Amino acid sequence: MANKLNRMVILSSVPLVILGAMTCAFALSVAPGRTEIRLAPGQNIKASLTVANDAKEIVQVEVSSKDWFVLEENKSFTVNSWLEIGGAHQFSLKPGERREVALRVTCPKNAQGELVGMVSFLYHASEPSMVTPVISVSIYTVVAGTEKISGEISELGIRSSQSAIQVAIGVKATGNVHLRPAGQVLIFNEKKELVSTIPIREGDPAYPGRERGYFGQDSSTKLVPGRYTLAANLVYRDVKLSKTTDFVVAKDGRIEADKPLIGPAKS
Amino acid sequence: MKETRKYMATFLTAGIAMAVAAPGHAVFQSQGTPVTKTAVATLVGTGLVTMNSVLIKKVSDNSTQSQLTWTGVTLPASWVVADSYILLDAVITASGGGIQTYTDNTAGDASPKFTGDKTQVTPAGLIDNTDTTKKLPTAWNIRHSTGIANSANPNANVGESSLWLYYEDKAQVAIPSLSAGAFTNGDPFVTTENTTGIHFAQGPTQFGPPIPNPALTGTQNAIYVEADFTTALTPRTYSTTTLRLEAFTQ
Repeated sequence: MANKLNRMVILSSVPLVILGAMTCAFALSVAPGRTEIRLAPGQNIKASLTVANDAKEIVQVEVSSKDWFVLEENKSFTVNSWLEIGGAHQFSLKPGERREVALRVTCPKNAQGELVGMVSFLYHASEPSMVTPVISVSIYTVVAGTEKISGEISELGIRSSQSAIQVAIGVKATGNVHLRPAGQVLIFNEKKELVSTIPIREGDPAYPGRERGYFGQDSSTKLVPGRYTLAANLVYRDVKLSKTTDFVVAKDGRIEADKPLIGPAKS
Repeated sequence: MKETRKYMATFLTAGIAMAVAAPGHAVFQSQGTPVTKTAVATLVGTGLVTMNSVLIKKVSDNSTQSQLTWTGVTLPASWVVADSYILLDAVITASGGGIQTYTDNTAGDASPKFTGDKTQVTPAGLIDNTDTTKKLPTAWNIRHSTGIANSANPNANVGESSLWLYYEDKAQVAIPSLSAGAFTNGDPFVTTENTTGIHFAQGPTQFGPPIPNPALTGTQNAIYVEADFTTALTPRTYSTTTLRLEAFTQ
C-alpha cells in the first residue's frame, strides 16, 4: 500500500482528491459463470473453476469468497463455513496461462433452502491499482430436502412508448430458494383473440423474500382503441406463475388502467 | 438518496429501454431437468461477463492517466466532476450478469481506511486522509460518450441530477435518517451495466442499449465520477484506494 500513497501529491491550497491509479488494459476470464450444487445436509462435493489470462501481460490474482445472498435461517452460516477454496489464494498468471481453482462445498447440517456465495478474482497488473477490477462467479448450494420453491406475481403492468408496447412483471420469491423465471405475456382483445405474444427472457434471480422486475416489449403490434386483457405466464422449474389484468387503450392511444392497472390483479 | 426500489413505479413513469437480444448473444439456458439426486454440481457457463479493459482517461484530451483526480477546486464548492473518467470495455451476455461499482473503504487494502461510525456516516466516497472518520460523498454516471460531463446533486431532482447515482460502500449499513440503504450485491443502484445495457439514469429499470457513438466501440462506456466538496476542508487530501468494478454472474 505504501507505494500507492507515495503517488499522492499534497497541495496546500485546495483539497486534493485521488480516486484511482494505474490502468488495466487486460482481461481475465473465469468459467463457469455459475455453479449450481445440490447437497444433503452434511454432505460435501468437489468442484472447480478455471481462470485464464487472455491478455499480453502478467496479472496478479487474489481469490476470495463472499456471501451474495443469505437467507434469514442461514445467518449463522457465512460463506467460509460451507465454501472452501483450495490451493494458493494469490498467484500470477502469464499471458495465455490458465489455472484451475479447486473448491470444496460442504452443506452445513442445519442449513435451510439454499446458500448463495461468490468466488471473486481481484486482479491487477504488476503495479497495484486503486481502481480494482473484480470478477465474481456464483455458487448456489441447495440444501436437499429443505428447499421450497414458490413465488407469486405481485405486480403486472403495461405501458406504451413511442415505438413499442412494454410490459413489466414483478415477481416475489416466497419460498426459501431463488426463482429465475421466464415465459411470456399474452395480450387478448375484447373478443378473446390473441393480439400479441411478448417473450419474457430469463433474467436476474429473485431471491427469497425479494421482488424482482422482469420486462418485455413488442415493437410490431399496434393496439387499436378498446378493452384488452393482459396475461402473464412464467415458469421456473416446476413452478408456474400466472396473473391477468385488464386495460383499456383510449382513442388517443394512451393505455389506461381498468382499476387497477397495477397492483392486485385478477388471477 | 436512493430511488424507490419498486420496479413498477419507475416502469410506469419512465418505462424501460429494452435491448433486443442479438442472435449472436448467448442467452443462458437453465439446465432443464429438475435435479433429483442429492449430490449434484451443475456448471452453467453459457454467456459471459468480461471486462476487457479498465482505463483512466483525461476528459480534456482522452489521454491515458494514472489516476482520477480533481484539480483546481476552490472552496467553497459543491459537486465537482473529476478531471478524468474511467473507460470501461466490457461484454455482458450471461443471464443475471452485470458490473457493479462501489467503494470498499474498510477493506484490508483500503488506505486510508474509514474509521468513522458506520451507523452515522456511510464509508462510501473519498476518505479524509487526516481525519479518517470523515469522507466526501461521490456519485457515478455511465454514458456511451466522452467529453465534459455536467456535475449535479443526485438529490436535486433538476437538470441532469437524475443521471448521477450515489456511490455506495460494500460495508455500509442502512441509515434511515440519510435515506441510505444497506449495501446489496447486484442491486440496480450499484450496477453500471447488465445484459439490457447501461444504467443511464437513477431508476432501477433505467438500463438500455446506448445510442451508437463512432468515438467509442460498442463495448466501451465511460464512467464519470463526481464528489461533493460541501464539507471539504483545506489543506486536506481525500482519497480512496478501493474503487471496485466488479463483473458478476448471479
